[in-house]
Amino acid sequence: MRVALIVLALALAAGTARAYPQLQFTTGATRCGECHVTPDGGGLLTDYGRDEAGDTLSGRGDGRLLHGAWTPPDWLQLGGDLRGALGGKQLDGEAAELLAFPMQADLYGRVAVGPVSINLTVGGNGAARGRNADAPITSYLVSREHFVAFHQEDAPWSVRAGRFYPTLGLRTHDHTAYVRRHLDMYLLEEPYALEGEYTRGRWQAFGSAFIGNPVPELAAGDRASGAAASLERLLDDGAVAGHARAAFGPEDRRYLVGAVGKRWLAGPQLLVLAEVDVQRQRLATGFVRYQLVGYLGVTRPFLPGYLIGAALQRYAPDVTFGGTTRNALELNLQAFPWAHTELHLLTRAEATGGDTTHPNLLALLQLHYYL
Amino acid sequence: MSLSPRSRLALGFVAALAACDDASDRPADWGYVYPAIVEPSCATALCHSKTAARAAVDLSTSASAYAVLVGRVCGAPPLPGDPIGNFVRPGHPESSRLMYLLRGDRTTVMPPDAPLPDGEIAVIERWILEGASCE
Repeated sequence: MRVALIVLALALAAGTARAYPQLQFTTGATRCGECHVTPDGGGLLTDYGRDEAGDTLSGRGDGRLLHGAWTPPDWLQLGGDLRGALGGKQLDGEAAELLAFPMQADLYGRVAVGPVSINLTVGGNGAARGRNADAPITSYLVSREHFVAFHQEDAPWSVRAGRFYPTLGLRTHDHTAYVRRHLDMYLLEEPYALEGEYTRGRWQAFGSAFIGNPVPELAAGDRASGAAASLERLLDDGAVAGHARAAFGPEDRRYLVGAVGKRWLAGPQLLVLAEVDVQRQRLATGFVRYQLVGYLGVTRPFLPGYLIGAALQRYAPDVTFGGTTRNALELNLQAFPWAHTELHLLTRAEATGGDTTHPNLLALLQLHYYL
Repeated sequence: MSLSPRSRLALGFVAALAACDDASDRPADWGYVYPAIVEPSCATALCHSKTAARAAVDLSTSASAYAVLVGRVCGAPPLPGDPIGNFVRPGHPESSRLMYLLRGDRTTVMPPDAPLPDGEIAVIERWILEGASCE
């Protein structure tokens, strides 16, 4: 077996400032905005989120910034994510490759004055398989998100404008998940957007308009512009959501509708997460095709600070075109042994085009530290 | 027995799913190959976007991708000799480097994280075989 050491930078599974939907309902939180400063989740944690991360999730350590060694003033919040990974992959029955790479190095800052806040992430930009010799210095740094938000305390609504993903779907931190990879939420595909959020009782609605890639040097995502909407309703033991998006680019027009279901089964202590999306893509030539993306996963917390889960994923880029569908089976083991730390073992077998005899195999141990 | 409109719609959807076309049912033209296969699979931010342009290959727009792969601007006459990089030799998929990359034949497979399914590779092969025009 040929074993090659590949050093990549932030290439394979770098999480963006996104959340862990597995922690909704399995901890004390029912909405993403309870633990994160943005209502759609991800990125900076609230004080409650830090307490939950330290006390409930890990059960050990101090979840506050710098383990409580320094408390920033009320108007300032800081945080960050550092990730590295070790593992291996084997594609289509070929020789396996050993992987070792830094995955993510992002710092987050939020300055709030009254209801107005400025939110910024700064981090290293990936360079899979090397960087061009004449690459500008700016290509080494990237700001995945930067936006201005307005939210009055206790008000049921908020609004923000800047660079971020419009709120849609499961919003997992794994950018290789089909519901992100194939729905324009892959790495650095954040567009510039204006988004409003409204929460009333069990309902939460998001509406956004976005423009793609106004600043190519920032690798600002999809080249399409459009609008998206999402509506979620909390249930007694979970949530259901529906969403839609229209995106218009130079090469095509895409119309997406989808649904998300989350159900916490208290008896067996299982969280079920599901998403299904259907997208109509009309090419500039007039050709029309339909795409299907699906995710079905279960997660079970066990012992203090451990999660084990499995997921099935399916992506059909063209539902009537045989031999193009991707199916994946994924197993995850996540450990949060101390506050600020996570070990995540991800294993995935993917069958491309219906060929299950030589699946693409991936095993990745991620080491994660958050500030 | 008559079916309700909802049942007919569901059955129609299932029938549509079951009606599997193959590569010969897809247009082997650049207007399909680029937006349906190349752009979503290859022009990702860290690979062949305008900013990243790994290996000096910018596939971020239909025009730039065609120029890089075929070695000439769409509409311009072919240049003498093989295109730079020899990615596509119109009419000759068997000697086009792109086909070797997509199949991982004696080289690193592209895309390296998610190789294309055979059906999509077959469409690209037919596009090259039929002259690799930019129409």
